[in-house]
Amino acid sequence: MSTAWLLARRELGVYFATPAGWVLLAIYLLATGLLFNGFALGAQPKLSQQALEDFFYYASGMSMIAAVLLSMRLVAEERQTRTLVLLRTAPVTERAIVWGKFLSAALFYAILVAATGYLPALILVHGKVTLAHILTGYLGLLLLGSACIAVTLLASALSRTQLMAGVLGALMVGLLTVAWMLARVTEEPLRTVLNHLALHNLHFQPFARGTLPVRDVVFYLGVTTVFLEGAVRAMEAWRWRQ
Amino acid sequence: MIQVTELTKFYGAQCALNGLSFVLQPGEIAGLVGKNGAGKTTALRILSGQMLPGSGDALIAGHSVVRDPFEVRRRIGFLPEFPPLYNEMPVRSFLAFTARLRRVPAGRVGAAVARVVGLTDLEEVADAPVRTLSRGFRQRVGIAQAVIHEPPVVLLDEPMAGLDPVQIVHMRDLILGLRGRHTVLFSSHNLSEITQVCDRVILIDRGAVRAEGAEHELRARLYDRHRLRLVLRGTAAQARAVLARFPQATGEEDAGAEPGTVALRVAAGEDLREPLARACLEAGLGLLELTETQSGLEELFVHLLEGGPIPPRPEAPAP
Repeated sequence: MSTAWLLARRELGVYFATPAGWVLLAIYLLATGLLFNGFALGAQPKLSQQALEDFFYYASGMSMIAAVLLSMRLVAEERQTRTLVLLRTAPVTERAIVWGKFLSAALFYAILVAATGYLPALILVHGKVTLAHILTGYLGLLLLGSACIAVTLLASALSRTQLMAGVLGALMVGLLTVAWMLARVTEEPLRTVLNHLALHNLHFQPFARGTLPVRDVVFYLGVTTVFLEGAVRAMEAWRWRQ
Repeated sequence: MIQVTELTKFYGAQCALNGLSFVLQPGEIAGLVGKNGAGKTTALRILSGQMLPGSGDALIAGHSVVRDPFEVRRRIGFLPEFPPLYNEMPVRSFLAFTARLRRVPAGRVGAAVARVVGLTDLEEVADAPVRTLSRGFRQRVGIAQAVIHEPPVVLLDEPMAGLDPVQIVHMRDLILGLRGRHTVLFSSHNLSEITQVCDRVILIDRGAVRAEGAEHELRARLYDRHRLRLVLRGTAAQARAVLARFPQATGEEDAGAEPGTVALRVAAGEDLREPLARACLEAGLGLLELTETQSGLEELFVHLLEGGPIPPRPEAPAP
């Protein structure tokens, strides 16, 4: 774990040491702010609870895109710039590499998401919502983000370039997101399976409404663990495939 | 310290290593020489635990690269052809990071960084970001990260590639500085540098060892004849007449003679310098040059890689 933390701290430094991290932060905040103003608040009067729910809905979409963008580089960039050899020739397990990289992306993602805190704070001050609703919504964003990061990290571990990782990651996250749409045109039992596989629809809505469903927490943690383990296996397999 | 046994590796249908075997003793510096595609980099990648061989095995300090790659990685330092450096990090921070990565205890990281910064002469750039460094300094940082944990085995892939002559001299001194403390195996195309740095040359071709030994030993095995360059004031016919007195010698006219002189390359089974000098003087020819020429590693390299025969290693004299 100490090696994973060592790697995570270095990776986290990269986000702040390069323009890419700051640009992503700025675009994310701008887009989230615009969506908040244009759609969550909207032109028509609405209940503050509904406005908060809409905020989390729109923020979740932006957060999924941000998660893909900030994690597509994690392994593929090191492969592209030939620095992965530093880790592969050190006494570091593939699991430590994957978890270290995941932790760094998850921490930066948490900073991104936390930076939007002033938006629901405005609703809290001027409306009638509870702090628990806000915290539950943010927990949902963090869990959704960690799942998207894990999925894209697997894509990154499978790819030679960042671009390839980004395309593959976006494709995988996209497919998992629209699985509920596919469920509509399929028969049982596939319909139920696809509905439950969908990253966003059934599993995120309870968080946006301010409830804390243990089942959905387990789902997101499960998806994160499975895809991270997949990334570990992909890294191990690279030794054979070369 | 390094024992490589019958390593094979295929990339698809292409054979990269074909039964590669050699042994390195502790403290030895050995050079892996071969033309492009001979299998040098593949061998170093396997020895550094980055990839697995198709068959065969290699032991690094007694640990198998196949069964125990994690333990192998604890005992090696590796510098690939392109140093794996994080451009955004200052040199000192990067070295501290690699020290922690290679399990140097937290309390000794500062001392380890100071040691390698001194060893590789990086003081003037120690606080500069890696991206601002020249190729030569990047190579030095690459060496520094490879030895920061004082591994028993150091593997260097083309450490002098792309360096200017001054940087090559520095790199050579740096590698020589590792002698005794580490067993060093490095690959290079720079044959003259290999002869200056290595105790032993391992010449590989098509994934197998073609010849190995100290340079002088290889030369002695391949060139059992004495080779002389003879330059006389006179004509080619006069020079051939002198040479005809020595039936055991062969001679060919050499280029580069000044007008009125003749140059010959002479080969014989024994050292003919004294009798040949005497014969020239008796014939009344001006003796301008009579030197023994040595075949260098380049010639040896070409000879072997063009399929030239390798005479057997001479037997040691009976005690």
